[in-house]
Amino acid sequence: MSKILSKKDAVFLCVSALFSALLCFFVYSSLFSPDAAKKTAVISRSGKIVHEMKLSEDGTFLIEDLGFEVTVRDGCAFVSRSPCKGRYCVNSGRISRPGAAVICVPCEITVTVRGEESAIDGVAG
Amino acid sequence: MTNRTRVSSASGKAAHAAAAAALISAFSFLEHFFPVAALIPVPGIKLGLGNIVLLYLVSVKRYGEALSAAAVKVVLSFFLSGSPVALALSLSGTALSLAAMFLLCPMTKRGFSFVTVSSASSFFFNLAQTAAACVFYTGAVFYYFPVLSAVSLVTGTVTGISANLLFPKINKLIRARGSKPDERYANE
Repeated sequence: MSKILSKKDAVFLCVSALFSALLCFFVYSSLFSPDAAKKTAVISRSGKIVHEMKLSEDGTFLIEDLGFEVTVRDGCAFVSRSPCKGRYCVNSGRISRPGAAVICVPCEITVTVRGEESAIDGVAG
Repeated sequence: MTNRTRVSSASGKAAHAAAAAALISAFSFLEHFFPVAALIPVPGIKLGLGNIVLLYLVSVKRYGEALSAAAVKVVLSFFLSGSPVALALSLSGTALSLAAMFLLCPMTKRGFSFVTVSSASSFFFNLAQTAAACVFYTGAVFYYFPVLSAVSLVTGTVTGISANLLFPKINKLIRARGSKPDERYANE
């Protein structure tokens, strides 16, 4: 017992260190990364919902008569193709937080992320 | 007066437990001199040096004194902080960590040392305390637990290493005075 640390102690410490590292990883990854499974991208045209896409599944949605395309990749939604001139919608970038939106005024299309709670302030956007 | 250092009376037991409780309080005061919070930036962590006293009592099979000293520690922490929630937190943590010590101390005869016992008991201390805090405050406190569990390994190891170094010397000292350190109270 005069030893500072026995072999079995080292094994125990390694196992428990691994355990708490895993615990940290699972708890904090679920806490800090947005839970894509619970979020959907809602695509509306002229105020009517035309399509909903889960943010957890990669995919594209094409509005054929316009050539307007929304892509979901890595838990983010973005406008990948648009016939409009300014292309502000394409340049708006990726959205993933609940309440965030990409709006294309010429096409009258909005892409909104719907989730459990609205992380973005309704007034300040 | 053959066994003058062997304490067998109830009053002797009480004196032992009281001395242990006083030591725990002294250790918890001493902890303020170690800037653990500066090394590991986690709020509310402490070294838990007081546990070394409980660990010693458990290691020499003086379970009764360990229990009494732990009870005094819990009540003292209530008097010092003055809040019933602190009492619940202290009670739950101490109870579970002491239970872990009771159960794991026999492992020291199977190749494990006090490092294992101490870090496990410190883990269970944090587990119980976080659970109690979840009940009394909000469930969000649970998110603090993974950090605490990692820190408890470190502080438990520090306490355990101190125990590994200290306990054999203490026992040697007691043996030199003519008493057996791990002798239970045979004549009671």
